[in-house]
Formats: sequence, structure tokens, C-alpha cells
Amino acid sequence: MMNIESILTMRNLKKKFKGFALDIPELIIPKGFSTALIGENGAGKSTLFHLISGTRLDYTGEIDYFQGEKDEKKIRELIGYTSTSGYFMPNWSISQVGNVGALLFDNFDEERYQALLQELAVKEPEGKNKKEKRISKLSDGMRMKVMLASVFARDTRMLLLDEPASPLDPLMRDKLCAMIREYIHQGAGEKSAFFSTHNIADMENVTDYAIIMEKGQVVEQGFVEELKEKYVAVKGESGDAEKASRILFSFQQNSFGFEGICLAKELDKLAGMDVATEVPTLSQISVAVMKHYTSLQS
Amino acid sequence: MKKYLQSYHAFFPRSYMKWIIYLVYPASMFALFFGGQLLFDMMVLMLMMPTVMLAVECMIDMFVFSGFAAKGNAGRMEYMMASAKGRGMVNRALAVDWIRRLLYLLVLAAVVYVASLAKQGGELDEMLIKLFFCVLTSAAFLMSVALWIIRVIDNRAVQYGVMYMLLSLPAWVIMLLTKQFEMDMKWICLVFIVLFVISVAGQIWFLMKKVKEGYYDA
Repeated sequence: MMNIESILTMRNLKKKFKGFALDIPELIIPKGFSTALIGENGAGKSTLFHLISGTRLDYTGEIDYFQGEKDEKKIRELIGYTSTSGYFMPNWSISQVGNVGALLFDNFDEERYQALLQELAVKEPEGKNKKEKRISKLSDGMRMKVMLASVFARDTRMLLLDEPASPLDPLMRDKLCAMIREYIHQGAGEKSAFFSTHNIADMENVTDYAIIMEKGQVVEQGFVEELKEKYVAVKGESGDAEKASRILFSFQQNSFGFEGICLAKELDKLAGMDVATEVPTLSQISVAVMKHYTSLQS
Repeated sequence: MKKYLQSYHAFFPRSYMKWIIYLVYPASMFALFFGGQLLFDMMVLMLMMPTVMLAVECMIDMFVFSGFAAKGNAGRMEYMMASAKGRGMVNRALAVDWIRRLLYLLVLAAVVYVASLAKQGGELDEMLIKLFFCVLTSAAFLMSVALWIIRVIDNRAVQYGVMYMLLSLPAWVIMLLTKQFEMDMKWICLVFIVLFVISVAGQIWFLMKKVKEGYYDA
């Protein structure tokens, strides 16, 4: 990695469940950038987010926050965390989340929270609809919007968003990307975002750095531009498929030929074959890496 | 004090819950006690009031703290768990809730005591008063047990079942203890007060332990 400051540094991070172990010798989250955590279901993404957010404390290893910050209260104030679980008490109303947020976090801005609810179309302008739904009556997408409003209403240094895009519609995903970009931009290098996602294509335009996890371990990481130099998308004729399958990092054959991802340093080995190459998308790279390490049978 | 009340109110499902708990509920209890005297004998009312209070408190708790410490419900506490102030907020809410309940119990005891004195023209029916305090203290103890169960079990049917089962117990307990063991009712009250204090302290300790456990394996 380039010589870049870190917002989070994890060392020898271990957490065991029955049939699963998270094991991360070292992981650095760059400061001032937007980092995506990618991996299949059960890869350990949510577990890692629980450990970082401090909502789970039973792990071994070390997490260094904000380059040496030790004050737990301050750390929790500076992290804006959303999760995939219930998150709020189900009987709370949307406004009550704001009241509780102001009690829980010193940096919570209630006015900004109310403005964000309107901006995200969770709540209509004052007077239009006085009756508010309870959290338990909201759809998954609406609940995620409330979580996002509660997090963006705070003056944090790092967003820690666990699969924020999954329950959102395409329009809202676009809005989320814009909000994250704005957050990073306003931070002028001091604010960072770290989010997990299965919607890689939708989130690619807001991803500077990508981390790919499989079976509790980090199997690939790097700035998106670096990854796009490291891997090459390849398409070729059926006649070369067998030979190419032994060289490519990930390989898929169809009735017209084959396609796959090749490590750029291995590209020379394809010499003599009739192949076309192009720069892969982050989604293509991620799927290729996940396929390479998965235990999922194809 | 404001912080304590805010923490408690954070668990109210709706803002009108404040009106119900601080106004409608006490006013209804007063109305029942004083209005009921037109229909029932004073003795019936004195023995009925603690049992009614037990039922109302259980119903209120089903809407306020219902199942918050139940197994598998740690996820719904994540917003609080993500904050350094979350555990303190839960602790304060539980404490204020019990202080409020204790105050209501004391007010009920005082009102009934004064009203019965007035009814007897200044002469105290000692037996009736003792019986009332026995029912009140046993109801307070059973209330603490019922709320403990309601807060760790997230199942409305079980919660109602617990409430109904406990409703008739205060009267039965008193009858059994006085008949079988011929105990002095003063001692029965004392035993229930001690049990009540232990149960409330134990409950707060247990619930806070459950909240803390949420930070460990879910």
C-alpha cells in the first residue's frame, strides 16, 4: 500500500464462533477514503463490524482507532455505525430515535436528523402527516434510511455501515453514494467511510479502497485503481479454453467461448491465444477473487 | 434528574405514554378507590387496590420494557450498545422505573390508610389495615417477579399468562400464611418487604448483566 495514514489498524484480530473463525493478522483502513468490505454471506463482514463498533467485545487482538485514540467514549462518539440487525428498539417512533440519539451521543444534531428524515423521504414536512410509524412497522429500506439519518446527523470521523445498500432501492443507493462522497469531501482528508456491500456495481463509484474477505480472512485488498491494474478481464475463443483455464485466476466457459480474470503478471502466458482484454470492473474482480477462495460449489 | 427521566422516557413507545403513566393511571386508581366506595365495602376495595395495581404495572411494562433483555434481542439494543452512554441509560431507566413504582405504592398505602381512618371516624380497624399492608407488600413482591419475567421473555402470551397467574396470588398467600402458620401479619409484611427489595435489586443486577452479555456472544 502507498504511504497513507490509517484511520483503523487491526492486528492479530481473532474471534471464534462455532464453525467459524475470524482471523486477521493485519488490516489497515486508509484515512480520508471510502473503503468497501466485500465478501459472500458468512465471510465475517458483520462480525468484523461488530468488533470495530464495540458492540462485541469478546475477541483477541488489537484495534487501533484514529491513530492512537484510547478514550473509549471518544472513539464511540467518532464512529457512526449502522448494522443489519434490529438496531433500534422496535416500539420507538422515528422522532424518538432522534431524542434517544441526542441522549446517547454528544455530537448528535437533532435538527439535522429531522432535516435528513425529510431529505430521505422518511418523513413528510411538518403538518402533512403527524402520525409516525413505529420502527417495527417500517420496511427494511425505511429502517435503513432512519439508521443513515441517525448516523449522518452526528459529527463523526468514520462511518461504519454494514450493508447499507442491500435494503435500498436503486435511487436511494445513488443518494447514499452521494452522501458518502459528500461526507468524505467535507472531511478534507480527516473523515473516512468503511462499508460492507453485496451491491458492488452500485457502490463502485464511491469505493476508493476494497477489501475482499472469505471464510473469516482477508484474501485481497487494495485501492480500486491498483486492483484494476493487478487483474485483467479476458475473453477468448472456445478453442483456447482448456489452455486458458490453467492460466486464468477465474474462468468461465460458455457456448461462445470463455471469459475470466487473469492476473496482469500472468498475461504473457496467454500469448498466441486469440483473446481480448479489458480493464475489469470492481464487481468482476470481486467475484473472481471470491470464486477463487469460496467453498461454494459451482 | 432530567437525564434520569429522559433515559426512562426513551423506553416509552409513544409520547402519550407519559400522560398514561403520570396522569391517567394514578387518576384512574384514585377514581376506582373513591368512586368504588359507592359500590363496594371498604374492605373489598382495600384488598382489591394492590391487585389492580399489580395488573396495571404488568400491562404498562409490556409496552415499555417488554422482552428487552430476552435472549436474541441484543440486536434491538445495538444503537444503545454503540454508544458509551448506552448501558448507563438502561441502568438509569430501570432505576427511575422502580422509583416511580415505589412512589405509587407508597402513595396508595398512604391514601388507603388515611381514607380508612376517615371512614372509621378516626378509629383504626387494625386487622383490616394489617391485612391491607400484607396484600400490598405481597403484591409489590409479586410485581417485581412478574416484571422480571416480562422483561426477559419476549412472548406476549407468556407475559399475559404470568400476569394472570400472579393476580390471585396475593390473597391466597395471605390466607395460607395466616391460617396455616398463624403468623403475625406484621411479620408477613416484613418478609414481603425484604423479598421485594431483594427481588428489585436482583432484577436490576440481572438485567444489567444481560445487557452486558449482549456485548459478548449474541
